[in-house]
Amino acid sequence: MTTIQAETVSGSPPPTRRKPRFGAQRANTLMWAGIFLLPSVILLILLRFAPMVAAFSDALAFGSTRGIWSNFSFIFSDPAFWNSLWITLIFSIIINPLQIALALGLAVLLTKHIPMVGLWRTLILLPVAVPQVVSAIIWLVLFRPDGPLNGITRALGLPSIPWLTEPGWALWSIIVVCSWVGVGYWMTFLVAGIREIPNSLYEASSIDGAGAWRQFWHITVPGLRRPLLFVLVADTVSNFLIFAPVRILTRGGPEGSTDLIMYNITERAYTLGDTGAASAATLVLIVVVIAVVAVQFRLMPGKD
Amino acid sequence: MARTRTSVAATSLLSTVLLLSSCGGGNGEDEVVLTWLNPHAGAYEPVVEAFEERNEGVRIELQSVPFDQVVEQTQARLGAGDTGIDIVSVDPPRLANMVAQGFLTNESEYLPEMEDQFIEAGINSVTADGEQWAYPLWTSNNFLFYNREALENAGVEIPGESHEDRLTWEDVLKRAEEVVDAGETTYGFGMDQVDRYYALQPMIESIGAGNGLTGDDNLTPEVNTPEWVEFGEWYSDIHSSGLAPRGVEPEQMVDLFRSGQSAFLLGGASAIGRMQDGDFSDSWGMAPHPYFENGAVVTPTDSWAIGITSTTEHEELAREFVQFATLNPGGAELASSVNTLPPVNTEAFEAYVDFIQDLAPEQTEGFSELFRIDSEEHARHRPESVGYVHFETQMNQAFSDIRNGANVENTLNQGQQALDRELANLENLAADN
Amino acid sequence: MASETLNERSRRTGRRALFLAVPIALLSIAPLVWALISSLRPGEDIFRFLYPISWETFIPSRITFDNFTTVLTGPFGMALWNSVFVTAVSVVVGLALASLAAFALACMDFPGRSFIFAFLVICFLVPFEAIAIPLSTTFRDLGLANTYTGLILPALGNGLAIFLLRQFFMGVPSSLAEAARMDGLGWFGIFWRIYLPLSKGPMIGAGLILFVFQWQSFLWPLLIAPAPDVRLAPVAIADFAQETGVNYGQMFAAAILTAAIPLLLVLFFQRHFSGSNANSGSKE
Repeated sequence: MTTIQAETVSGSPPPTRRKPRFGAQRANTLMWAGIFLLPSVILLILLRFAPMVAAFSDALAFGSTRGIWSNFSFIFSDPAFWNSLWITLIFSIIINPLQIALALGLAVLLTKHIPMVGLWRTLILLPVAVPQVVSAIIWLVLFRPDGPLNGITRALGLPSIPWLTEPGWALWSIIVVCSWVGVGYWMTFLVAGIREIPNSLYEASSIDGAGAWRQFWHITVPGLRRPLLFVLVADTVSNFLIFAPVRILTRGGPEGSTDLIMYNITERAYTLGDTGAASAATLVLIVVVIAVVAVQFRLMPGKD
Repeated sequence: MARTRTSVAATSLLSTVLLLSSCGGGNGEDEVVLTWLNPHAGAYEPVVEAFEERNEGVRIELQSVPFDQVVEQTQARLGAGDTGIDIVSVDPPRLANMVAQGFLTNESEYLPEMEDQFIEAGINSVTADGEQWAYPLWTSNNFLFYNREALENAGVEIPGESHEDRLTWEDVLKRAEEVVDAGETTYGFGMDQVDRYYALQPMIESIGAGNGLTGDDNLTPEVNTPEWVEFGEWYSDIHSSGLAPRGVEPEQMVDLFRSGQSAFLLGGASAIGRMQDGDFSDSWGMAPHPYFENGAVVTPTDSWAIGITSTTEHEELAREFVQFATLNPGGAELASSVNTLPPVNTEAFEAYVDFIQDLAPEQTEGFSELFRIDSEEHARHRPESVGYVHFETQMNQAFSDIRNGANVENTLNQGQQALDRELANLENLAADN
Repeated sequence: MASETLNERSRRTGRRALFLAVPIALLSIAPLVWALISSLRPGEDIFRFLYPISWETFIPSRITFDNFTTVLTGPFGMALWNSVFVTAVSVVVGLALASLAAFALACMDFPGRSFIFAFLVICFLVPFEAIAIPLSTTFRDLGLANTYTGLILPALGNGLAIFLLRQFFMGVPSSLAEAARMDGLGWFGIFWRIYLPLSKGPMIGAGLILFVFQWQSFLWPLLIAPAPDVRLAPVAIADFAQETGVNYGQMFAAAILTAAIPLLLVLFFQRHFSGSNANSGSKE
C-alpha cells in the first residue's frame, strides 16, 4: 500500500496544507472530513469489507482433519485452477492495452468538431446499457459457425472462423465481446478528460505549427494523466472480474481456453457449492489484483 | 442555479429517508405466505390460484429464477439457511446432494399415496437412500423428430412411429446423410440437449458403457473405459463431419430444426408445441428414440419434482399445497397446463395426452403408447450420487469439448482425473462436517 | 483572423473525422440492430436467414409486433419500472455520497487520509459476486429481502466512483479553494460552490459508473429480491430463457426496450451534457 500513499502525498497540495494555522481550524477540518467520509466509509465497511473478511474465514478450514490450509492446498493442486490463472493473465495482457488504446483513440476522434458528435458517442456507449445476459446471447448467435459473422467472412471470400469452437479463437472472441461493451464505457471517461484540457493549449501549438500527432503526445496525453490512471486501474480491475460473458458463451471451454479466474470462482461457489475453495480462490485473486494495481500506481504517479 | 441544486439535493435526501423507513415492512397480517422457489416463470399461476381459492388466507408467492440459475440459487439460498423458502423445485439427479445437505423433509410416510397416483419412474426419481424426499411433477422422454418434407424430397424412407419400428443410430445417420447429400437440409441431425448428460446417457449406455459413476454411493468415476471412448469417437465424428452442427447451443436447436435446416432432431415432448407454432406446423413427424446396433434400447427419464424445505415454518400447509399440485389429479393437471410436460400423475397424464393430440393429431397418434413402453421398459435414471452436480458439470464440459474437436481419449482421461480429485474432495469435506 | 482559420481547420478535420466516427458507431450498434430486427420477426424466421447472408438476413420479409406487445403487457413492464426507479435512486444518492467522500480525500488534510484511500481502493478490488452470498444472508436477517432498500444499498458503497471524483478534484487548482476560504467560505461551501460546478464531466462519469453497476446487476437481485413485485429488468429478461428453449423474439424485444430508456435519456439531455465543451473549437 505504500505506493498508494506515495501517490497521494505526491498529489497536488490541498488547499489547507500549506499553512495548517490554528488548532481550531484543524478540528473544524477534521469534523467536516468525518461528516463527508463517514457515510461512504460505513457503507464500504458493511457492504464490502466485512463480507470479504467473512469470506476469508470461509477459506480457512477450521477443524478439518487435513489442516487449516486444506482449501488452499486443494485449489493449488488443481490443474484447472492454475490454468484459469494463466488464462486470466493472457487475457489481461491482451485486453487492457487493447481497450485503453481503442478508448483513447475514439475519445480523441469524438472530441473533434464532428456534426452530431453526441449521437455517435452515445451509440458507441450504448452496448453497456444492454443487460449482459442478452448481449452475450446475441453474440452467441452471431458467432455461430453458420452465423452472420461467418456469413460476412464468406461473402468477403475468407474462410469461416471457428469463433467459439476452437481453443485458439475462443479467448479472442471473449475479448471482442468484452471490448464491444467496454471500449465505449472507458472512452466516455477519457472524453470528459480531454474536454477539461484548455482549448488554448491546442490553439497555441497550432499556431506554432504542431501537427495532430505532436499535439496528441505533448498536450492530450499529459493533460489526461489523471483520467488515464483512473481508466487504467479501473479497466484492469474490471477485466479481472469478468465472468458473465464466459458463462453464457463458452462455459470456460473449449478445453479450458476461456476459463477466466472469476468464472472458475463463481462455478465453485454457485454451481458446486464449494464455498471454502471458492473463498480461497477469491483471496488469491484479490492478492493478484492488489499487486497489479500497486504496480500501476507506481508506474503512473498522478503528478502534475 | 444554487437553489435548484439545493432543492434537488433535499428531495433526494428526503426520498432516501422515506424509502428507508417505508421499505422492509412485513406483508399482510393474517395471511400466510408460502414461497416457492422454481425455475419455471409463468408456469404455476393456474395451480396456485386454484389452491388459494380453496384455502382462504393462504397466498403462494412464486419466486421464479431463470432456468440456468436455479441450481446456483437453490444452493446459495438453502445453503445459507434462508428460511424464506417453503417449497422448492427439485431436479431429481440433484436430490441426493440436497438430501445430504439436509435441505428437504422426509416424505416417506406418503409413499402409499404416491404409489396410487404416480407412475413408478416418478417415485424412483424422488427416492434417495430408499426414502422419498419430494413429490414428482413431471417425467420426460426423448423422441426422434424428422423433417417430413425434407425426407420425402430426398427420397428417404419415413421412420415408423411405433416402438417396433425403432431405428438404430447407424440407420438414422445413413438417412440423415442422404437428406443432406440431396441438398434438402444443411445438417443431418441435431439434439435439443446437445452436450448434456441427460441426452447422452441413453446413447452411452446403449453402446454398452456404464453410466459413468460406480462404487459405493456412486462416488467413483468411470468415464474413460474403452466403451466411453467408443461413444466419444462416434460423437466426435458426427460433428467433425458436419452432419451435426458445432457451435449451436442447446437452446437454439429446436429453432434450427423448425426453420428447416436439419433433417432430424433428438428432442423432448416440449418441442411439439414450438414446432406447431408457425409455418413449420405439420411438416414434421416423430419416431422412437434410437439405439445402437447390437446394443440395448435405453431412453432418458425424470423431470422436475417439488420438495418441502426443512427450514419452512409452515410445513403442514406447504405439504398440503405440494400434494395438491402432484397427488391431486386436478391439481397436477393444472400444474402441467402451461409448461406442457408429461405429468407423472397417471390421471393427469391422460389429460396431457389429449392435449398433445389436439396440438398435433397426426404426428402424435402413437405418443401415449410409446411413452408408456419407454418409461416402463427402457428408461434409465441418472446416477444417484451426492457428487452428481460435479459429475454432470464435468461431463457436459467434456462432451462440449469433444463436439468442438478435442481429442477424445485425452478429454475423457482429463475428465476422469478431475472427477477423481473432486469426488475425493467431496468425501473429505463430508468427513470434516 | 488567425482564430478564424483555426476554426475552419477544425471544422474540416471534424468533417473528415465524421467518415471514421459514423462507421464505428454503426459497427458498435450493429449487434443491437440485428437483435431489433430479430425481435420484429416471427419466431421461426429468426434463425432462418443467418447463413449464407442475403438481403433477408438484414431486412425482415415478414414483420410482427407481437413480441413487443407480449413483453409490454407481461410482468416485464413492472420489472423495467423497478429497474428505472432503483437505478435512479442509486445514482442520485450514490453521487451525493461519493462526491462528498472524494472531496474530503482530495482536498482536506487529516490524519489517516491515505489509509482511507487505500482502504477504498481495496474495496473496489473485491469481486462483488464473490461476497454476494454471505452478504445476502445478512441482508435477509435484517429484513431487507425483497425490498427496494435491499437492492439499492450495495450500489451506494461504490469505491470506483469515489476514486474517479478524487482523481478529478485533485486536479482542481488549490488556489481557487484558498481564495474562497479567505472569503470565509466553509468546507461545505467550497465543495458546493467551487468544486461541484466545475465537475460536470466527472460527475457524469461517476453517475455512469453507478448507473451501469445497478442497471446491469443480475446476481444480487436474484439472491435478494426474487419476488415478482421487486424484480429487476435483467432478471425478468433472463426468464425468457426457459428450460424448453429460449424465446429469442421476446428476449430481444425486452432487451431493446431496456437499452432504449438510457438511450432516450442521454439523447434528451445531450445538449446539456455537451454544454461547456472547452475543446469544441467554437468560442463564445
